[in-house]
Amino acid sequence: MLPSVGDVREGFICPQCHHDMSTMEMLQLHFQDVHMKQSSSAVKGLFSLAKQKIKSVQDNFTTVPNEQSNVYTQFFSFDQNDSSLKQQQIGYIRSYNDKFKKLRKIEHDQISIETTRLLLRLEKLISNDEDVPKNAKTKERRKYEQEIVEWIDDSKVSLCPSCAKPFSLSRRKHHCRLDGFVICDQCSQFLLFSKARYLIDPNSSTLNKMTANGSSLQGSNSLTSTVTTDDSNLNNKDKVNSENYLRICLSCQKVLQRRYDQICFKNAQRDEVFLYYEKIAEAQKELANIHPTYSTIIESLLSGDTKYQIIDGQRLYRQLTSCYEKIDSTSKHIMKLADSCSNIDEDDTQSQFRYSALCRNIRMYAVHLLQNYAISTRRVPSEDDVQRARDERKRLVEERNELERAAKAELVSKISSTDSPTTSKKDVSGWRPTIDRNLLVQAQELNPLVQQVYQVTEYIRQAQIAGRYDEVESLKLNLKELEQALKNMPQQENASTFDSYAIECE
Amino acid sequence: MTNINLIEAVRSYINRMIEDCGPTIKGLVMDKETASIVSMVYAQSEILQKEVFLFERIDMGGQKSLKHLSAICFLRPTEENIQALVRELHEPKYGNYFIYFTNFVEMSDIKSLAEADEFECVRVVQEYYADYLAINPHLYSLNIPNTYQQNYEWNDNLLRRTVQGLVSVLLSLRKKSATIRYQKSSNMARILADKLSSTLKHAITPLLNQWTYQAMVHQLIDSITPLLNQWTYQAMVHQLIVPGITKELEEVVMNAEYDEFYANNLYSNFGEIATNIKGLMEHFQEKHKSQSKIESIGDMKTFIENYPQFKKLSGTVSKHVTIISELSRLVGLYHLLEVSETEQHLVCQGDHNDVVQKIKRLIKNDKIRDLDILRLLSLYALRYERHASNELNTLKYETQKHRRLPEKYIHFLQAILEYGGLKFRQADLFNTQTPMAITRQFIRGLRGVDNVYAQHVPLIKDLIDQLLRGKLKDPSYPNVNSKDQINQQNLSQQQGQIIKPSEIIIYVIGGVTYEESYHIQLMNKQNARILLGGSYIHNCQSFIDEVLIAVPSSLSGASNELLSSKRR
Repeated sequence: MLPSVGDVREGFICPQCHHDMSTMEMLQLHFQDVHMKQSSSAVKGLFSLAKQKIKSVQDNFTTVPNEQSNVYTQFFSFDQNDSSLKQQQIGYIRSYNDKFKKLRKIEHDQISIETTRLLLRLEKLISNDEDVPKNAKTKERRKYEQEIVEWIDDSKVSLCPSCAKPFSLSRRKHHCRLDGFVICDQCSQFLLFSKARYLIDPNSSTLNKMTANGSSLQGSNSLTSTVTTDDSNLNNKDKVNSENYLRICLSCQKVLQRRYDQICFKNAQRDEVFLYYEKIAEAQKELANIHPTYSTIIESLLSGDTKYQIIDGQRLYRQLTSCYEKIDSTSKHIMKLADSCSNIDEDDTQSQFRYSALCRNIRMYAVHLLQNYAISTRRVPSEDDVQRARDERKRLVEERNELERAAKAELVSKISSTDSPTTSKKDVSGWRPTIDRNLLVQAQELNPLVQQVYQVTEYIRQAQIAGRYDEVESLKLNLKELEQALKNMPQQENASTFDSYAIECE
Repeated sequence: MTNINLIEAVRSYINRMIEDCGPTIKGLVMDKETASIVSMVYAQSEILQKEVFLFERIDMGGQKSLKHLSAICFLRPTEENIQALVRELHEPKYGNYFIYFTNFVEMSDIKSLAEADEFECVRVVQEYYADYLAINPHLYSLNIPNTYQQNYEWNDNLLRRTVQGLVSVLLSLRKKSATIRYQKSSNMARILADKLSSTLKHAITPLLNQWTYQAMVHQLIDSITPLLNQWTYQAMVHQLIVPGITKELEEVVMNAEYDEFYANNLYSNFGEIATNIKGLMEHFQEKHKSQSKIESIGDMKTFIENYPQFKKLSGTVSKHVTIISELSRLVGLYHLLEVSETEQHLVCQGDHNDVVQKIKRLIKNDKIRDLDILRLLSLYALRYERHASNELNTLKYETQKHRRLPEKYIHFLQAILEYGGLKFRQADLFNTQTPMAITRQFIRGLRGVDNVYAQHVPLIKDLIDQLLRGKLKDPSYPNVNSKDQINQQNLSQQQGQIIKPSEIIIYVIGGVTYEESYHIQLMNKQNARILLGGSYIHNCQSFIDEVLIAVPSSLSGASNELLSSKRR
C-alpha cells in the first residue's frame, strides 16, 4: 500500500517514495525513471480505491485530518519579548480632548466676558437698595439707569437697528437698559426683575422652584417676555406692568438667554427614571456586599462548622430577599413609566420611543441581575441538614483522631522496640494531620520544641472537635513555625526523653 | 503566543468606551454603520449589563431631554454625522457626551464641534479605530456590497471608505507601517495601495524599521470560489438561509461569540454538523431525562440550579436543529449534493465529455434551481473557454429549451467571461498548467479524495503559500514603499536575512467568501498569522450582482439581444 503521508514535508518530494528531489526537473526525471512504469498498475488500483471512497456517501464528508503541525510557524517572525504578542492590547487611540477644550475655551471666552459685563450691570439695575428708585416711569429711575449704562445719543439714530424701520411719532425711540442702544418698542424685550435675579444668583432666587418645576425644561423656555404692541400680548404687558421690568435689546437678550439656558441645563431636574434607578443601584450595591458573606455562611453551615448559626444565615437571607424585592418592584415601576411617558409631548413620538426603550432596558437589566443572583444563591439549610452535617463532621474528626492516636501508639512502640527511624517511617500508616514524616524522624531528638509541637497538635485536635475553625487555622500557623524552628535545630541524639514524652502524651 | 484577533480588537475599544464613561446610566449613540460594527462583536444583552440602557441612531430626533444620561457617541467621521452632532450639541438631549470617531477627523470638524458645545457637555473627543466589521477573529469586511463600478473604476467615496477601513484595521491591531504589495494587473489595487501607503505615511508618525508585516491588496480574480457550492456551516447558512424563508428562522441570530455550538461548528462541513448536532441532541435528551423525573426535593433543587443552563441548552438545540433540518431540506430539494459534485468535478478533474453529459442531465432535472444551473454554466464557460470543442452554446441552447432563465442570469453568463475570462486572469485558476500543479493533482489522485465536495482550493491559498515561500514575483505583485525601506530590505536580503512578516493582512477588492475564510482559518490553526478581509462577504447571488455592475453594460446588452433573439 501507500506509505502514509501523515507528516507534512515540503520541497519537491516524490509522491511515491518520499525522497526530496530538491528541484522540479529532478523530481520529474526521477518520477519518470523510477515510478512511471511500475506505477501505472499501482495507480489504477489506487484510483479504484479512491473511487470506492467517493462512492460511499458516508465517507463523502471526511475532512482533512487535523494535523496539529505548525507548518507555518517558520514563515512568520515573532519577537518573544514583545509583550503585545502575548496578550492583545487595545488598539491605538488618538485623543482630541485638549485641542477640543482649547478651541471651546477660545470660542466661549468672548461670550463669557460679554455675559459677565451684562450681569454686572444687571445686578446694579435691579438692586434692592433703599436709595434706588424703583418706579420705571420716574425721572430718578432714568437717571439712575443712565449712571450705570451710558445711553447713546438718540438724535442721530433714525432707523431701528434691528427692524430697520424709521422712527416716527408712532414708532418711538427706546433705550436698551443694558447697553444703551436705541431700539423701537416692537424690538424690545422685557426682562422681569425676578428672572433677572435668578440669572444673577440661581440658587437663592425664588424663581428657582418655578423654573425647575417644568415648563422651562421643555426647550421652548424664553427668558424674556417678548412683549410687543400686538394685541394678543397685551395681557402679558399688563402682567409685566405689575412687576418691575427692564427693557433690553435683542442682542443683550440673546446673551442672557444663553446664560439662562445654561443654568437651566445645569439645574435640570432628574427624571423619575433616574431616581428609581438610583434605588436599584443602591440595592445592587448592598447585594454585592451581602452576597459573599451569605455564601460563606451557607458553605460553613453545610460543612458542619459551628462558627455560624442557622439564624445568621436566615437573617442575611432575609436581607437578600428584601434587596431582590426592592430591585424587582422598582424595576417594575420603571417598566410602567415606559407606557405612561409622562412629561412628553404627545406628538413627540421619537422621545416617547426613546423613553420607553430606556425604561424597558432597565427592567431587562434588573431581571438579568436577579437571575444571576438567584442562580448563585442557595437556600438556608434546614436545622436537620445542619445537624446532620455537624454530626458527620464530628464523626469524621473523631475517626481521624482515633487513627492518629493508634498511629502514634504504634509509632511509640516501634520506636521503643527498634529505635530505628527508617522502620518507623515505613510502618506509620495512620493519618497525621500536622506532623510530617521528616518531623517524626527528627522528633527523636527531644527538646522543648518537640514538646511544643505535640502540645500544639493536641490543641488542634481539640479545636477540630469543637469545630472552631479559625482557632485551628491559627494553631496550624504556630505549628508551622515550630516545625521550621525544629528543622533548623542542630541534630542531637536523645531518644530516651522523646520516648518518655511520647508516652506521657498518650 | 496568542493570535491576533480582530473581534477582540473591536471589543476592547468598546469596553474602553464604556469604562471611561463611568458607572452611570449610559446611552450608546451610533450611526448605521457603527451599529453593525458593534453588533458584530457584542450582544445587546451583554452591553446592557454594563449599564448601557439606550441604543439609538444619531439621526433620531425627539425633544425630551435626559440630562442625567451620558451619551457615548460612536460614529464614523462623516459629514452628516458631524452636522448631526453639531445640531445635537446646540440643544443637548443628554448631560454628557463622550464622542468617539472610528477614524481620522478633520481639525475643522473638531472646531465646529467645539463651537457648538455651548453647554460644555462634551467630555471626550477621541478616535477609536474600529472602522470595520469583525466577522471572525481572522476575518473582516467593510460591508460595501458593490465595490466595482463601471469598468473597474474607483468611486471616490468607496475608495476613501476602503482606505479608512484598512487603516483602522492596522491601527486597531497596533500596527503602524507595512510592506504593502498589490496585484499589478489590477488598476484598482494599485490605486488603493498607493492611497493606503500615503495615508499611513501622513496620518501616523512613521516608525521606520518596523515594517514587519505585510499587507496585500488584491482584486478579486478568483471567480471560481464564489460560484461553487460551499459546505461549511457558516457558508451554508450564508448561502441558503435567505431571510424570510420560514417564519421560525427570521429571528434567529447566529453569533459565534455567544453560541458555543455555532462557534465550534463554523468550519465544520455539512456531514460533521449532522454528527455534532446529533451529539448535542443526545446531550440534551440526557439532560432532559434527568430533568423530567423530579421525584424528591433534591431533584427539584438540582433542577432549579440547572434550570437556566437547561433553558439555554434547549434554546440552542432547537435553534440548530431548526437550521440544520432546513438546510438539509434545501440540500435534498435542490439536489445540491449532486450539483456540487459535478461542480467540483468540473473544476478539479475535468474530463470534458463527461462533464458536458452531466451538465446536460442536470439541466433536464427540473428539481434543480436555475441558479445552480447558472453556476454550472458559468464554471463551464470559464473552465473551457479556450477548449477546442467548447459546447457552451449547445449547453445554453439546452437550457433555453428546458427552462426560462431570468434576464439577469443571461447577462451574467456573458459578464463572467469578461470578468474572469482568460483575457483578464493571470493566475491559473484551475491549476492545470504548471508542472507543480500537475504533480499536486497527481498526488491528490493517489491519496484519494478526502471530500468530494471540497476538492477545490481557493486561489488565495496558493497566493499566500507563494508569498510565504518568497515565490510571489515582484513584477506581478510589486511593493509600494518608500525607497528607504526598499533599500533596507535589499540590504538585509544581501546579508542573507530573510525578512519574515509578523502578520499578513489581505484585502480583496470585490469581496471574499466564507470558503476562503475557512482555508485561512485552517492555515492559522497551523500557526500562520493571516487576516483576511474584503469589501463584502459574498454568496453566489451577491457575487452575481457585483459582477454585473462591474462589466460594461453595452457588452452584456449585446449578448442579451443575441440570446433573447435565440429564445424567440
